[in-house]
Parts: sequence; structure tokens; C-alpha cells
Amino acid sequence: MDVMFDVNHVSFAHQNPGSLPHRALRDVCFEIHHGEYVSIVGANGSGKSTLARHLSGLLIPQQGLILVNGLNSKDKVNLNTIHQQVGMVFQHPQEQMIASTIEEDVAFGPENLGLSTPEIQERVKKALLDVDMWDQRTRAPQHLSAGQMQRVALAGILAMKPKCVIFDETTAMLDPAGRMEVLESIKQLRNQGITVITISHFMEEACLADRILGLAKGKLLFDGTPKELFTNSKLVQTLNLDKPRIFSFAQQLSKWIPSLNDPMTLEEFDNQIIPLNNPIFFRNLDSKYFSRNNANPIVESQNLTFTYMQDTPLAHMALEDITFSIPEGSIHGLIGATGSGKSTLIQHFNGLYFPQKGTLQVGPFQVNRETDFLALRRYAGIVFQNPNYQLFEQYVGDEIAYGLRLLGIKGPELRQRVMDAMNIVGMDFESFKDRMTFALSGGEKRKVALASTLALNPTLLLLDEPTAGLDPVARNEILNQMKTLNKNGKTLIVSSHQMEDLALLTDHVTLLSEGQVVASQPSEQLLSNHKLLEDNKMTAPIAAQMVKILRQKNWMVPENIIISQQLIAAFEQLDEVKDVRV
Amino acid sequence: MSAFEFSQNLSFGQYLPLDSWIHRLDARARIVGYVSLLMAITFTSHFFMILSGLILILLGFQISKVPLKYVARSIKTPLIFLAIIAFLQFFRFAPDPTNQLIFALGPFTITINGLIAGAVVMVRFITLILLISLASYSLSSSDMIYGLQSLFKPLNWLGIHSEDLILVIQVTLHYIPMLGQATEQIAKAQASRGANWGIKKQNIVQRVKTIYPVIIPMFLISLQRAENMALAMDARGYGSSSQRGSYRHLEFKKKDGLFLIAVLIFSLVIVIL
Repeated sequence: MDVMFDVNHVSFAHQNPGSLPHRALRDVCFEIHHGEYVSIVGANGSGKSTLARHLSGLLIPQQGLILVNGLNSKDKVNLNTIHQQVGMVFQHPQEQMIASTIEEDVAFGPENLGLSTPEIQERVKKALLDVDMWDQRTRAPQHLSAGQMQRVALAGILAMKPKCVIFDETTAMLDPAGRMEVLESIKQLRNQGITVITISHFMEEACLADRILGLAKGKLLFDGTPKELFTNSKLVQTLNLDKPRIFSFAQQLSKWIPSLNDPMTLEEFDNQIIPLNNPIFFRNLDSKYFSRNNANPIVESQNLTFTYMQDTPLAHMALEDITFSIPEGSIHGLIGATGSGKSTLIQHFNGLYFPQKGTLQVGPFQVNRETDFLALRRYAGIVFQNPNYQLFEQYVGDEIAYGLRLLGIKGPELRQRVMDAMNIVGMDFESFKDRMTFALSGGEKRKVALASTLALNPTLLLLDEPTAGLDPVARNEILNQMKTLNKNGKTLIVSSHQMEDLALLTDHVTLLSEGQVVASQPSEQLLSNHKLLEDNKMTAPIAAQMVKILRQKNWMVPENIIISQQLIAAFEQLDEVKDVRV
Repeated sequence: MSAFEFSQNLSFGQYLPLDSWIHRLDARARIVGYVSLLMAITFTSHFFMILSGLILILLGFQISKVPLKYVARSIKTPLIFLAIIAFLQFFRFAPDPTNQLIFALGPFTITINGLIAGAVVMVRFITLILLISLASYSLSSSDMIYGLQSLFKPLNWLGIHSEDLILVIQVTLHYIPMLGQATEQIAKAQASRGANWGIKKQNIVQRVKTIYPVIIPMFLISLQRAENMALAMDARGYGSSSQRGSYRHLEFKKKDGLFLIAVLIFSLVIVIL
């Protein structure tokens, strides 16, 4: 096979004004052949994106060299060809849209190549047909779902007839359906013989590749198959990664199902389980494995309705007739496709919006035009989806002190409360208080955002996509902090696309679709209802998907399992039964 | 209305994808036509000429099928300022034999000419607002981009890169709603932590005090976004060919010519008479 990328002793450092340069890549060497499917993994800040930008000619190596299809990226003459041959889909779909309609946006690349009008039109049509967006070509990009936008971004690259497409954390902000759309597109690209490189924090996605490159602190520590990487626990730890859930759950199950041989994907798991001739029946799980909460409601919403841009041509109804309640002291999940109204609903709970119709009771507050919003917002603190949009002070210490200062808290008390808030999120006061907020990593920014809300000691904590874009280690830290906060008496409302997180955290989940409540049920009931989830563009957590496969093969595991602990517990109960029989 | 929907009051950029005779005209004819009307109404001094312009634009609304109620909002907001300006015009002239005095209060005199001047100001502004709204409701930003691209092409002979100029306009158009969103986000974040956003009964000083802290982070975020966008453009080969291609091929038909000639003559008549 021909070599697509020849990366030869490449080093690169980002210049940081006022401090030492950050060495993002250190002496990296590898080759990628035409038609390969490679995934690059590593913790936040390990140099993955810097590497991807080198491959697409957006960055030029400071040391060493890169040959793209034989062309040296250091030679400026080659850059145009490299840009045409290597396309890139980025994390934030909105920021890569340039034109005001889909078709024109897709045309941007071919227009840059200076092609004739009929040629451009033909390419745009083909690319949009390929990603199944031709019907929507005259719509504005901002009216699409995030998954659709990523497909349009991909079409924009396909129209340039690339030899390789790089997906740089393309799925991080997408809902489960959007993620499936992107993965489906990747499959199609492979069938056409296009080289695919993905960067992802989802180990399950990384496992779909033929080959994995593992980066840590700018060094290439691993180059091999997914299986070689994840069966080496020590390496997984050095790279600050997590095992793919399917693999780690299956490892624990192999005690009972010996035919399991380190499956990395659901497909492999399915293939490795031999159907039983006689079904094995399991006992239902004890109620201690499910969290229950029967306290009085802290949030109660009756027929809540809200329309954006009311009375304008752009009016659009975001919430319709929302009726549900959340008990005090619980962790409550909100799920639903992009644009289903989760964020709008959450922003009602702290009075950023108030109901246009219907009623909303949050703690002691009746939320309407007359509410004391300042008091309500102290009672219900919110942490937004993108930490970049909620940090506005220069220094971490000032950021966390912002709300406290507005309350008139000064001097030693202010210092103490900032320190306490930073303690809760596990940040050292002395070493972080004078750090610049804009220079923090994604995980650190999220912790600061959480701390700055916790500093005000809210009773109710609202979290919008708290783990999106985080690497596995940072994600686990945030999840643990959320659990601790809940144990200490706070009620949490979490909106998320990460079914795994919700399965671990929540006792109750509400599913929204197009601004309406589809279901509000105990987590294990809703998150194991495959049909309901799929009908609403969601997918069940991995443990639940494994249960579905097991049941098809006559392992009649209880259906309401959504996390690995419950799955293992079910199998352990099986042993107890056997022991009794013996 | 919520305190955080900043883009709600912009009538600019609210294109309505309707199928009307005006919507189907060549983009270049519409751009030149609207601009010439805009100039004519701005520079004419005669009350009846402005009024005939107003009638023409109302006719334009009729033909383009854009409901007039959508425009009501963009007139309502500045109405109070317009009224004040018009009111001040009443006192502009001193009475003389050709200019009859209507009412006098000490040194302040309201005359016939003053009243006319006030009415001119009022009607002129309303006409202009209507015209701009009509333009933005019937001219999509892509019409505008491809129209301007074609209109600016002669600039290349002068050594000016018209494509770059167009791209600047394109990115700006794309950026305005993005800035609105960024501002909204920061305002919400600050409000959630106790800033006075969306709280009633504030005087102007308090309002300015709440707006000020939003500005710096907004610029930072805009710069970050601009950087990401530049990267995305670079990745898609912007600037790789000296001659950019064009997705659309604009066709100038007979009806476009007729429309343009009619509008140009009308504009000329308004200004000269």
C-alpha cells in the first residue's frame, strides 16, 4: 500500500507569551497508509489536535518533516494540494460554517479551488447526496441539528475530493443520534477507500478503528491495534485513558461466559456469545441496586410553555405543556435530542427565562415575571454547557469570587469561601487562584465554572452537559464530585447526551422530544427501554445494550439493568441460586 | 419577551423565503434598485416625493407578499425618538410673510414650514425603515453575496480583489448572529451568579454597569471563534487559487432590466423634482 502520511521526527511547541513554550509534540514518528482507519487517543492537552493540524497542513513542523502523499508540508507550494487532499471536520459545527445556506457552504471549498460553475454545482450535489442532505440544501446551517451540521461540514470536504478525512472530536457535542450519523458516514468513507483519522475521548469509538495511536504529553507512546492497547492495563493508565466499557464489563462477565474473548465493540460481544439451548433465568435484582427518592418535590412544573422570538416571523416553540416534578435531594436527568428543549427548560429553573404559560415552582419560588430573580438565582445555581462562555474574569480566584463580591462579601470571609469552593472541586487554592482562566485546560475550566457556582452555596444545582468534551479521567472526577455534592444534600438536575453518565448518577430521568415530555420515569426503567429511546434519537447505555444481546442468546438477565454493577450483581445472584441447589 | 433574546429586535437579516415576483428577480437588479431608492429618498427634499416613495414601497410589500405586521416592530422602537426629532422641527423657522405663524410661546414659534419639516422628517424615516426591511425580507444573504460578487467584479481591473471584499461581507453577516449568541451566553452566566441582568426597575447608570463587564469577554470569545473559523477556512483551501470559482451563475433577464430601469427612473424623478 502507498503511504498517505509519513511523519518523521516531528516536534512542535506552542508559543505562550509570558511563559515557557508548551511542547505539544515531541519527536513523533509514524506512517499511515492509504485506506487505513486510525484513531488518535490521549488525555486533554496530549497533543492530539496539534498532530491532526500537522497532518492537514494547518501547522508546519518546527522540527522534522511530514510528507503527505509524498508532498512535504514545509514547502508552501504544496500546501494547497495538501488542503485539498486532507479534509478536517472540527468539534464545533457552527464555527466551520461560512456561508448562509447549506449548498453554498458546501460550495466554499470547490469555489476556492477555482473550478467552473457547472463542475462546482455537480460536486456540491454529489457531496450532499452522499451525506443525505440534498433535500435540505437551501436551509440555513443554524437551523440544523448538530449532527446534521457535522454532516454538512463533511459534505464540504467531500466536495473537494479528498484522499483523507480527519474527524477532530467531531462527536463530542453530539446527541446519540448525531453520533451514529457521523459513525455511519465514516463507514461510507471507508468503503470508498478514503483514509479516515478520528480523534475521540470515547474509547468505544476509538475501538472501531483498525489502529490506534496513543499520545501522552506530546509523545507517541503507543501504535497498534485497539486490543493490544486496552488489554495492557498499565499502558491505559499511563495514557490517562479508560478501558472501553464493553471490554471491561465483558472481562468481569468472562467468569460466567468463558467464550468471551476481550470484545472491544458490541458487534464482537454479540459474535462471541454462543446462544444457549436452554434459557437461563435470573432472579430480579434487589431494590438496593436502584436508587429511589420519595421526598417532596423541589421543582414542580405545570403545563409550562415557552416560545422563542414570540410575535416575530422567526417565532419557534421551544417548550410545550411541560408537566413534571423533581423530588428534593435527587439527581434528576434530562435527555433528548439536540433542540428538544433541555437547555431552555433548565434555564427556566433559575429564572433566566420565565414561563409564558403554565406555572413553575422552584423551592419556595413561584417563577414568573414578579419573582425575585436575584434570590432565585442564588437558590438555583447553573453551570452551562460550554465553560468558555461562562468564565469572564482574568484570574481563577476572581472568577470564583465574582458572585460573592456582588453579595458584598469581602476580606477573609471571601477568601475562605473561595477556598472552600475550590476544595470541593479538588483544586488547590494556592496554585490555582492566580492562574489565567483562558489558559486552563477544558477539564480545569469546567471545575472553575462548577466552583464559581458552588461558592454561592445553591440548594439546587443545574448542570448542562457537564462532561462533554472531557477526557475519561476528568470526566470521572466531575462525576464523583457530583455524587459527593448530592450526598451532602444538594439536589442536582443534569442535562446530558451521555447516557452512561446518567445511568451512573441519576435516580430519575425525563425524556424530552420537540419541546414535550415524552416520559419521566425511574432511570433503570427509562434507560433500558430501547424502543422508546431509539424512537427519540437516543441510545441505551452500554450495559443495557449488552443485556439486550444476552437476552437474545437466552441469558435471561433482568431487563432493567443500566450499569455494570447491576449486571455483575445479577450474575452473582445466579451463583447463589446454584449454591443452594448443590 | 425575555431579557436575554438580544437578536429579537433586529429586523436586519430576517429573510423570508417567499415565492414572489420580487423574490425571483435577479439579485443584482434588486441590489441596485434598492440602493438607488435609498439614495433618492434620503436626498430628496420634497414632501410629496417622499410620500410617493412610501406608496411605492408599500406596493413593493404587497408584491413581495411580506406581511406588513412584521415591520411594525422595527418602526415602533424608534418611533418615540422620531417623534421628538419631528417635534423639534416644528420650531425651526421664524415666521415671515411667506411662512405663516400658527402658534407662539415666547421666543418659540411654530410655523407652516416648521410643520412641513417635521412631517418630512417623520415620513422620510418611516419610508427608509420600510425600504430597508423590504430589502432584508426579500434579499437573502446569499443573494446579496452572489449579487455583490458579480457587481464588484469590475473592481478587479483596478487591482482590488473583489473576492476578498465579498468574503469580508460574508463573514460579517455570519458573525452578527454569533456575536448576539455570545453576548447572550455571557449575560446569562453573569446573571446566574448574581449580576443584575433582566432585573426590572433599573436606572440608566445601573444598566450601563451591567452591560460593561460583558464587553471584554465577548471580544475574547469573538476572537477565539474568529480563529476557529479562519482555521476552518484555511483547511478548506481558502486562497489556494488566484481566481475563485462561483457556485451560482446569475442570469439577467428582460424583466430584471425593466424593473431596474423603472426603479432608476423613479429614483431620478424623485431627486430632480
